[in-house]
Amino acid sequence: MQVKFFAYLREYTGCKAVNFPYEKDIYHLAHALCARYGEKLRNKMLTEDGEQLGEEIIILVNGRHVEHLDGIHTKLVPEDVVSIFPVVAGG
Amino acid sequence: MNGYTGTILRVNLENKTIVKEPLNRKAAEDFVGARGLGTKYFCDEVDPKADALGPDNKLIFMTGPLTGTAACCSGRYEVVAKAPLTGTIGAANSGGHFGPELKYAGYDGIIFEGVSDTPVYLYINDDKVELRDASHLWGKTVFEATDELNKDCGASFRVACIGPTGENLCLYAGVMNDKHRAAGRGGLGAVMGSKKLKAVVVKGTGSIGVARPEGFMAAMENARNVLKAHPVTGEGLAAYGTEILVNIINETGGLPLRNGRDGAVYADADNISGETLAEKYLVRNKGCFGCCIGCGRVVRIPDGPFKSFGEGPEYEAGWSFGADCGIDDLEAVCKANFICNEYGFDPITLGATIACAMELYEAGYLTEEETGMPIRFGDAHTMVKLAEMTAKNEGFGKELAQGSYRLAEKCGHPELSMSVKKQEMPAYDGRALQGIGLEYATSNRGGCHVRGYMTSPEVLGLPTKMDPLVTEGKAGMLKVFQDLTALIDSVGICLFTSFAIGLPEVAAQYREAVGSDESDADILLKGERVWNLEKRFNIAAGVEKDTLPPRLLREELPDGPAKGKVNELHTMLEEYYQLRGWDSEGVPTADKVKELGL
Repeated sequence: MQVKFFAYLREYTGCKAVNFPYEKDIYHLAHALCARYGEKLRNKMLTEDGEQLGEEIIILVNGRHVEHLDGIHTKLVPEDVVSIFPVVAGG
Repeated sequence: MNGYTGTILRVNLENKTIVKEPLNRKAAEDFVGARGLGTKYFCDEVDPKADALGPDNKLIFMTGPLTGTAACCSGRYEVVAKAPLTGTIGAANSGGHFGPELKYAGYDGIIFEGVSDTPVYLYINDDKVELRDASHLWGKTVFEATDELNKDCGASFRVACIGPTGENLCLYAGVMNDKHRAAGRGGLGAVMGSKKLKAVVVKGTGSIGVARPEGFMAAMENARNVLKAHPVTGEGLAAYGTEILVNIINETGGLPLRNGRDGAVYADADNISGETLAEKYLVRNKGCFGCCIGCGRVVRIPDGPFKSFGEGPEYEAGWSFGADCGIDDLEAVCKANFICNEYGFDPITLGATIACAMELYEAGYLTEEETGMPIRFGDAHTMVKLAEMTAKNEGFGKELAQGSYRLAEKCGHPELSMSVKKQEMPAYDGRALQGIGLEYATSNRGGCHVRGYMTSPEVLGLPTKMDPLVTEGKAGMLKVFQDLTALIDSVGICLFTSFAIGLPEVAAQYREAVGSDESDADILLKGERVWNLEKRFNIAAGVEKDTLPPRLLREELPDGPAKGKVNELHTMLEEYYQLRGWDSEGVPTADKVKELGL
């Protein structure tokens, strides 16, 4: 499945996007990504106990914020595009 | 000393009189400062039916009680006049250092009346205030005029001025200060140009006291700590600037593409993003007076046809010259933005007007005979050339200088202007973000994103997460955002602080500065008072009703996360009017007017 990274998360992952092995939901994808890319990403991505998404991360599945889907339990299919941002703002 | 200097300058440009008058303390208490107080003075003194470019319009520069204090990001001031682009109340906010300097010179604001017969500038050096001849500056760019004034008056003077677009009455010319900062929207630079006022230069050696220094420092420190600790204001904006929004708005399906004609998903968005700007062209970041965020961009395009150096672009300009024109050449986008700073006009309206012209041309409603050249989406060189022609008021640029609504109307297709009340909407598609559509429709100065930034909850999740595709709850959230924004604009601090701090922090600093014991709710009510004052001016001026372009109401988005959506304005507007205490036509009721003491 396609996973895209933005802003300074690209420094953590060393890439803008990756074709990542399929995971069945955001929970498992988040843990798999943290396992591959390490501590800095994990600190942003997940709470300390690893059970919730961090407050400083925005995850979209096909452009929809997971908050408006099923949060960390949002189901995935292999064709999904997951976009991951740190909390950003501007205007 | 309570945040105000206590003195207003009144300058009559016709008979060349300058009067120092005491601040209207009651008005300051009710309307705070900057946007609110400037609007109060304006509405008390100007006929809403006045010609925006005629002698009866007034031009007001106004600071707030926190401007120039130790509060974070307190470099803000407001320019207020009737706006020539929209016919609405025009209020445009700017940062930099000009506002604080005006207060250090001893003045909360300046009210310009009448029209000068020859070009002049206002010279302020503490108590010494005089109108000086500006004939030698007329025709100069913002950068040239600023350099020349600094050479004549002294390098430490702060300069607010207009460029050639203001002189030529381009309907979206801005008032520029510190070269690169702009009170940018609505055409207030054209009002300044109509008055033959080229610039205001100011130097002050005074200081600004606050009512309760210890309490103020504590409130300020608290706000600063929140700002520094927040990932947006403490990290993200400094690293990437506002252009960081390009990708997330695009991924959300809300980045209007080719005048909104082709939906709101741009496959090449990353090429014009904040990430790409930082990677390839960023020299350093930059902050305004007292800034602890540093979102400004100093950028160099090292070579090629768009070789240039300047500041910006902000996200809005990145979109208007980029996705809105179907262009992914960031060097061209930067060049067009620098032209706007140099010549002193609004990049949102310029880019959106060029995009409108591109659609009109491709649809066959504008001919090459009229434009002088093919104008097609995706042509970066033509886009930059059109920006230059508009800056210099040449050829087809004269038509572009009127904004997209007048251009499209002249072509018989006003529906292709992506504007509200004749001002172009910024970089968020109201079909993908329902709340921002409501914001555009109800904004008191026409299409605008900084009158109640609904993108914040709808996309960024600040301060709470709201689904952008639904209408529920949007009216109530927008009302709070609009009132809080009016308050922040009026106290004299940067709106970007509100990504991290909220009413409690803003109110605490205000209370300690002015010596008030009002509650947070009482202080927020001042923002609501400002909003209603602006609305009542617009109604008296005969401004059209609150609505959106037909495209947003009827043309479904063709793809992306919001595929099939239009803006459901009608379902939000009625609730919004009810929450505001207005009637079904959007007119403040007698009870609301009485409640607010208007």
